[in-house]
Amino acid sequence: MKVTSWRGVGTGLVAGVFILGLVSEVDAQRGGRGGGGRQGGGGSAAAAGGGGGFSRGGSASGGGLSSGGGQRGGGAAAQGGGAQPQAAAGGRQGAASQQGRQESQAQRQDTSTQNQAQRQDASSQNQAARQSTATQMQSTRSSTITNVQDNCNNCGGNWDNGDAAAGFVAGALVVGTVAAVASAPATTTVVAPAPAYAPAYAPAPAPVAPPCDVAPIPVSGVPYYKCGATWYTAGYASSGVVYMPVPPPSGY
Amino acid sequence: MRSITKAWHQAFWTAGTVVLLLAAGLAYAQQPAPRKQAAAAVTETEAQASAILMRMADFLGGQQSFSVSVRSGYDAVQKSGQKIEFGDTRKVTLSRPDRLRMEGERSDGVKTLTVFNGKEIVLIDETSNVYATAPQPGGLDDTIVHFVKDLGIQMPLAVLWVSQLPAELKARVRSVDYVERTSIRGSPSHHLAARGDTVDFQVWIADGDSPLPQRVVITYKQAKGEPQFWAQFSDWNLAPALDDSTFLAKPPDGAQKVAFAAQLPRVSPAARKSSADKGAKR
Repeated sequence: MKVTSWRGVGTGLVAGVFILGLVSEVDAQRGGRGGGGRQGGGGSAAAAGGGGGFSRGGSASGGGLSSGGGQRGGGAAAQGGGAQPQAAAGGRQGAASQQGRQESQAQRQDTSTQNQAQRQDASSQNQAARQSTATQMQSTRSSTITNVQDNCNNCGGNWDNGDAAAGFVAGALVVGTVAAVASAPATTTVVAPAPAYAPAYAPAPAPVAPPCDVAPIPVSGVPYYKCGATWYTAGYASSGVVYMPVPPPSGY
Repeated sequence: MRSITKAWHQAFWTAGTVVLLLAAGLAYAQQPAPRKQAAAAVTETEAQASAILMRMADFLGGQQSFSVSVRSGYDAVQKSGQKIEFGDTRKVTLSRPDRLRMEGERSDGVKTLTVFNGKEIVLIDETSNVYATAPQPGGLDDTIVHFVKDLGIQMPLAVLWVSQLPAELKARVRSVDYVERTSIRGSPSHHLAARGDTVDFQVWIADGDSPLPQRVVITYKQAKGEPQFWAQFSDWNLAPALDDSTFLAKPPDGAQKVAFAAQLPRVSPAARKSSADKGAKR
């Protein structure tokens, strides 16, 4: 009887250790994959359906592999927020996957002994502490890199950062502003104040008609529009046809 | 009989103890292993990702000609903070050293055709029935940069169309890591995540002899709302049928010629203010 109960305890212990080992092995094999981290973006976008004066512009509209607008236009807030989620770097060791692993470890612990739970708690805390230190270090490193880049005028030659296109949108907005001051605008386009550089938000739709209701004056085959003392002519920008203030054509 | 039982018990407990110790040893040995492996794997996966990314860049940048269809979308962050997605479809046909044709249709139906014919840049907006032209400054790389930077016309993923793609990526990418091996529309692909100074991007690159991008997601991490741009590539053709008409752009009858807005002479801010003042007095 005594032998049987000791045998049971022994078998239980061996089995327990093996199960723990196996779980640990599976965990190790799963390694950093731990996909967790995808935060369902799936918000409540559905509502605002088409059409109603939404702007099509903004930093992402150009599909560039660099961005200039944010840096100038006030991306300071984004620096912290943007860097954080991925600060623990790349897929396999991402913070999210480690967190996922810790969570499943915690679940297993529920079925294990209290001592194990305590050990694991301590280990989780250590891991969290290490992780936050690593995150901070990485964050420091990346801000150092940013500082170095800021001092470099032509690093990477980010010619596709949308600055030029954004400048035109701003120009088009100025047209609207001037038109609103100059005389009765032909369109009812709502005009937002022109930002100093690339807009942080998508700009308001650019005017697509001459800013005042006057007959075009053809000069060398190009139609000009004189609104008050300002001359305008049509040009083509990323957003389509825009009306830009220009110097008076020759002869005027 | 009794001694046999005793011997059996001793053997059982000895074996049990050995197994227990072995198991405990194994478990102990296995515990820190994942951490050690993961720590070593960071550089391995980064090196692997970098090699895959640069292989794609070398491959794509080295193609004499190709065509591809691109469906894309992006977040337009409104002043309210609300994100609205717009998009377009494009067909890109490219022939180095100096030809390109890009047919695009925005999600609101606006259709454009851009052609670099070796001498001239022609952009036709069929919807507005206008077109603009400018001299082509040189080869395809120079022309793409001129088109985007100087003429201010957006060309999504323009970096992908230049032969200097490897150098462009080297200059922009600060780190890249391997996410996973996955499948994009049935095509086995490597999913990579790269970080730059102003953007982060993910790219899915086909596994195999033609390491072409299958999908791209760019995050503008310094822009408010951290908008994203995504693009899905299809119908890659590395030997497209090209003839004279491929790079011919004929504006429709009655289309009005306009200048590129970037090329219009600018009014100085002082003159503009003065004009506005005069206008206001009226």
